[in-house]
Amino acid sequence: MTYKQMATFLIICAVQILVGNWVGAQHGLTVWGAEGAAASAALLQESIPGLLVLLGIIAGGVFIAHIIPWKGLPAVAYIVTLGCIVTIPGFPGAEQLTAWVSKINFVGLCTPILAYAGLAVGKDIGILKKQGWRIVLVGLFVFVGTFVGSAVIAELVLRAMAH
Amino acid sequence: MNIVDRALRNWKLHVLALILTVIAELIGTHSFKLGPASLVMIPLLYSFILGALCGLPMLKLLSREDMFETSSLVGVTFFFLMARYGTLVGPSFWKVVHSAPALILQEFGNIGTVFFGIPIAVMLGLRREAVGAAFSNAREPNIAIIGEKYGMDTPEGIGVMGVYVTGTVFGALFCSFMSSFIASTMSGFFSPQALAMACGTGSASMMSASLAPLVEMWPDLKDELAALASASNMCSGLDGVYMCVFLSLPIAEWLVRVCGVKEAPSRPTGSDSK
Repeated sequence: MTYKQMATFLIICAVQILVGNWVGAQHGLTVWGAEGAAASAALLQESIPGLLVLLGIIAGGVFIAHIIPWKGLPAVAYIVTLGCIVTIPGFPGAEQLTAWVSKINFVGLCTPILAYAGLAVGKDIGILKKQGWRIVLVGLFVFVGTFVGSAVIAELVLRAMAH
Repeated sequence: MNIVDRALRNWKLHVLALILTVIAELIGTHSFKLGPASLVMIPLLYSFILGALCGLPMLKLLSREDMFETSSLVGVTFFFLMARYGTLVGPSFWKVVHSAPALILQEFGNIGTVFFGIPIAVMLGLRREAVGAAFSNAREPNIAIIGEKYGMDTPEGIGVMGVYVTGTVFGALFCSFMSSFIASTMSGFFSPQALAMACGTGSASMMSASLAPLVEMWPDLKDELAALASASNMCSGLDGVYMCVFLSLPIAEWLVRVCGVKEAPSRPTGSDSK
């Protein structure tokens, strides 16, 4: 994907996230009529800086991935690291950035992402049919095994550390 | 014009995604009691299911071409999620560093996958496929490991791809239900922090789907749990790969033989000629 294509899609995606986040935030509204409309507009307005910060972090991460000669890590690794660094308490402006991005609900952020994933998923059904239900069943057991295995170890280590 | 250009100009996809997002957010979060367990339904599950339903051939809404075009874009949608997850770890950075031993050691949970998955796979009649299917939860780096060691057009390759596709199709739904079920029935043993770390072992969408019910159940711990899950996901991307190569793959090789699969491991095509 070229950087131009990426930028175009990030903007399309940003609009989806903005609308999704706005609709989701309405559940918390308790006022109606003109007052409700004003509160609703305020919700939309206060999520814009957070979205711009996220776009900035993405741009920074993609840029770092571009200039670093070693190509062993994908751009998302730099994006998540940059997002982490700029919000560590003590980093210049970290409190302000954290306050802005906190207006973007992180679970709600996944709604448009999973909408795209859902629209694309039909192409994989054929592969699943070909490989059969047994591998699907093994896959589900594997997810349970990994989740429970990690949770048990994390729990035991956390308890040991508490002592 | 390449596939990404066609996808970007395919307004049907973007309008559909927007409509699904709005419907899903309008429905909102609901939890249901199911016996001793509680099931948390979150908007991302609705938007995924509705999106998958749009692909039903009888609706004639999406062609195969549309689906391939959409999938060329899915990778970039995760940029937003990863940027947001980074900003969740940052504010709790020192708390996360404090939990580092647990975050690193829980990667050993992968061994649980092997001991649980390989016998079941062999019991279900899989042979060498079992190694690829049950040595890890088959995310992108794990596919690369199998591809390099055994090749992709081999039983091992079929195994890892099968579980990978299972993850893309059912992963988010399944992980969300599993996490609500375990969290609501076994919170006597598991602390929410340990469960949050376990959420980070899968793909980014599996992590969000399994984290959401925890956040619903412990709203006061929202930020801490999200930070731990994201940090665990970052760790899985780094040390998880080494853990797979040096530990869970050799154990899977040994265990599959113990379970009675005697065929020799496959080798990638071309490696014999050297």
